Amino acid sequence: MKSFDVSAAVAQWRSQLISAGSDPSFLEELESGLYDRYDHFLLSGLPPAEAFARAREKVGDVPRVAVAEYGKAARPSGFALGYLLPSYLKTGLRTLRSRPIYNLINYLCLTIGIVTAAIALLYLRSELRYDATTPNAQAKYRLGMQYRSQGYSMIGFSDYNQTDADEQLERVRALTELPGILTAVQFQTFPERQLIRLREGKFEVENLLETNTPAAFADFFGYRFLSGSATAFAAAPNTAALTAGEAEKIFGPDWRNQNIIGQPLTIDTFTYTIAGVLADPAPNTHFDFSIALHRERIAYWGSRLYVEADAAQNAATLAAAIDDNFAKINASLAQQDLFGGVIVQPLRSIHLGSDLLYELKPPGKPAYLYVIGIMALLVLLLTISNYTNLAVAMHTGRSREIGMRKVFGAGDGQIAGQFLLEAALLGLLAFPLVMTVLYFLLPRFDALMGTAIGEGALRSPVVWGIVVAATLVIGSLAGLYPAVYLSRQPIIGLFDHRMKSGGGGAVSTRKVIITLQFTLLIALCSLTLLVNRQLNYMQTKDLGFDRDRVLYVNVNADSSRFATFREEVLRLPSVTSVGAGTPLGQQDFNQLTYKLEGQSEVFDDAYNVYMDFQSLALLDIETSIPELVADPEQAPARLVLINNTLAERLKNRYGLTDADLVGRTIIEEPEYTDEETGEVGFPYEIYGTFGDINVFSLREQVGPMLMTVSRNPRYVYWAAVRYREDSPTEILKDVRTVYDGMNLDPIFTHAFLEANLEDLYEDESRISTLSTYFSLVAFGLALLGLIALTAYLTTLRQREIGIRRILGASQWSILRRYNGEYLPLLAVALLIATPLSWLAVDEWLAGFAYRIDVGPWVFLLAAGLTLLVTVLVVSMVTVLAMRVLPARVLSGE
Amino acid sequence: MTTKTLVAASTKPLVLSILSHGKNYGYRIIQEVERLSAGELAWTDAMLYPVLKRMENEELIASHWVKTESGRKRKYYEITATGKERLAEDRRQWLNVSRMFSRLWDAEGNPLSIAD
Repeated sequence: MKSFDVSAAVAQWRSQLISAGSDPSFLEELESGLYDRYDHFLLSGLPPAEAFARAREKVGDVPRVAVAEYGKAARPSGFALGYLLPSYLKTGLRTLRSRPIYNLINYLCLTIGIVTAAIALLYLRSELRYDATTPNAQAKYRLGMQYRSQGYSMIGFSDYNQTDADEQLERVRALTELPGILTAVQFQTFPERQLIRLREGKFEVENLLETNTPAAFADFFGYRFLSGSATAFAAAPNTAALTAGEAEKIFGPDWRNQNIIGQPLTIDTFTYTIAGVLADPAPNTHFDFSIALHRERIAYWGSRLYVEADAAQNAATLAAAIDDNFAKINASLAQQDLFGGVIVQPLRSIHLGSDLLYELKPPGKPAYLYVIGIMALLVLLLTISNYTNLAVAMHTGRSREIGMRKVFGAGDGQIAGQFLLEAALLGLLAFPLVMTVLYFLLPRFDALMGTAIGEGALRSPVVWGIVVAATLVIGSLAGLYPAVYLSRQPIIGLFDHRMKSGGGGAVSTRKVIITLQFTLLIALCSLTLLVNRQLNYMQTKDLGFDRDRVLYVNVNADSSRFATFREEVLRLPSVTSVGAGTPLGQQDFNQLTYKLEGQSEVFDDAYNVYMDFQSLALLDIETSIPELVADPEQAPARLVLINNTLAERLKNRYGLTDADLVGRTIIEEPEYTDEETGEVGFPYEIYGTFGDINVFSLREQVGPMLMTVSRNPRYVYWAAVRYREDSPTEILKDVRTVYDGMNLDPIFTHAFLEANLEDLYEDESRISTLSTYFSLVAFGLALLGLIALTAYLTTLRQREIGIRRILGASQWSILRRYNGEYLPLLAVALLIATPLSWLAVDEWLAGFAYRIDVGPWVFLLAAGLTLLVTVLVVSMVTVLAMRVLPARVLSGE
Repeated sequence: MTTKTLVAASTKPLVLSILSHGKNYGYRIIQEVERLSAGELAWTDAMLYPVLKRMENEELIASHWVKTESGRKRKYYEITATGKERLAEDRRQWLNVSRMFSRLWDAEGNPLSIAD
């Protein structure tokens, strides 16, 4: 008979205990007790097997009782983290050191993810906090007006440019007398460059601001005087308040020591006294300026009007109140049929919500906040999924460690805590690198996006807060799944060496995550491709004119001086022609009313452009009068052409033919009647038609347009210069020399037509660049993740590869097999990503009147790119693994 | 059989009292309890060790492993100063209860007159 082996019996008892899922932290004590009882029963004369059975019975129903008791015993309330933290940290650091390459990859991915999230958060914060620094901003509103079918961001004076100072101020007073309105201010900005004379020097400044409500103005927007005072600025007209930035530009960095208050400053023919220097307005306000001038009368046809209301008011009640009393504010406008009421905009809504004419700064686009937010989120998801995937894969190698910890009494929460801590630790270690990257990246981001989030960002506690929060949140999110997944593993499974280290079952978490990553890559990649295609389309689409090599110069000259200028410039060898007229590639401007003579219907949506025949020729605009364009001497001094869109409208409306239309009279501004002659509006004979041209951005559909073509315009604002293949800088220099020689406008202002057009798509171009960067980052991240994951999994599967090779599998078949695992995932990803990205892009493209067609090939291309990258990575890693001799792999563990 | 509640309430004072006579190990403690209760209280190891662990956490007792002659390990427990303080307090309370019962019942459990 086989003798009883008490050690084996105890071992079996112990493993039953473990596999039952109990967590006895006092396994050793129990075992010692079991032996004591066993000895006792032996001494009392029982045979060993029976003695053991009795002892075991007496020890008790360990799994059940112990688990219940253990819960109370193992966790001294409140202290757990305190005394476990050092050992968590020690284990965490040891783990980080033990797999340096994989952890480095996780570290880099985490850094990239956190940097992206931080930049996106800072950007969103800056956009959403526009005008937040204005005191009591929620009670402040801007007034605009509805006129014809357009909304204006300002309100005209009753007599436009001729309105006197009292009348201009009268409407501010009238506004403040309305119930609910506490204060009202008005100003106007002048973005064009001007020359100021100060002491002996001359300086060019732009963005001057004129106000005749100076005290209220400084108070309303909360401007702080660094030197001088608001009282001095408001005390008498013809005073100037410089912003600190402008003071520094003019007087140098030590302007504070130069006694500049009280000094005279001349702009045009006006001399102002410097009354103060203001702290620079916050960059995220809806307007900015360099010098505020206190004038009795604003030299413009209207002003920007703002009011502060009491808490009981809102935009709608204010609009109603002001409309009811508008006769007191602007009697002549109130009587006009074209006036459609005031537009009241809450101050904080202007940046993201205004689409009015002549906006002070290009408004922000909420769509782009979504785009940036979503892209950052995608990168973040990639970061987190990368970490999750690699962490789970790496930690399967730690299953025995987890098993031992559990056997020694660690609870699920403690195991999860360990992994969470490790992720947070990695995040924390990433923090210095994140801040360094931000330091270099933020100024570049600002330059690209035209924002100012980098200014002093690294000194701002808010920014630190955001980055720390992002670090901890992302670190924890990244560690969450691995923590929960690993801590939930049953103990017995943790000791099973074959634990899911290979490809896993039909649907493993890893496959789900990889599919998610593929989906994100395809989505991001196709979005980038489409955004870039639309931008490219806009930049190359036939706009109806020749956009190349045209320089616009402001000449501000009468016809004879312009003729001289033209002659002089034409002498330049590289110049082919010089014309005059409205520069193309503009921001939207005001429309005109018009009607066909003999008809009563008045339209209100025509744009008017002016050109001479040379401009028409040099821009190569198609017209129905090519012979006159070629030889203007045969043409009348002035004629009017209508564009095809307008011609089509009139023909369809009144059943006319092309031939009927020519010679008919079109009346502009029929609401105006000349009091002396009794003539209604401004009648023009339609001389012919011209092809539709996109003067504005392609976001807008080409509308009806009238073009006044003159042989010799009486006054020329802008000259158009077409040049040969020379460099633009050369041309600019030569033209400038002619310009300066002729004593034209003291300020030389110029614009290249191509640059004008590019400026129209600044936003799109920014988004396109940004999405390209995001995509590159995402691809880089996914690539890193995929390399690390495949490399790690392959090391776990080296035995498998070795066996396959010994059994005769070719390298090709192994490559095919390993790559093949990813194909179904990619197909699923394509199915998910395509409709989602299609919807998103369609939504974005809806904002463009002229747009590309979205075809399935973009998504296939994106999937193809993803596939290519995946195959490259997987093959590379597998080939490396295959190089190891099978015998070596199989001989050792 | 003693009720669960009473077992739960009396375990710690009993362990402390037994350990106040000198250090001891798990199995012997269980045996002492059985002997003193004349078999009325039968503790299992699975019930005792968690209590010992908890008492250790509360610093009422301390423990250390000792290697026995047979080569096996055995954990010995001893009462700490805090444990002694706790025992003194427990003793006061239990004696109080005990005195009350002895005034209420005779040795056979028959009610006594409570009028003085």
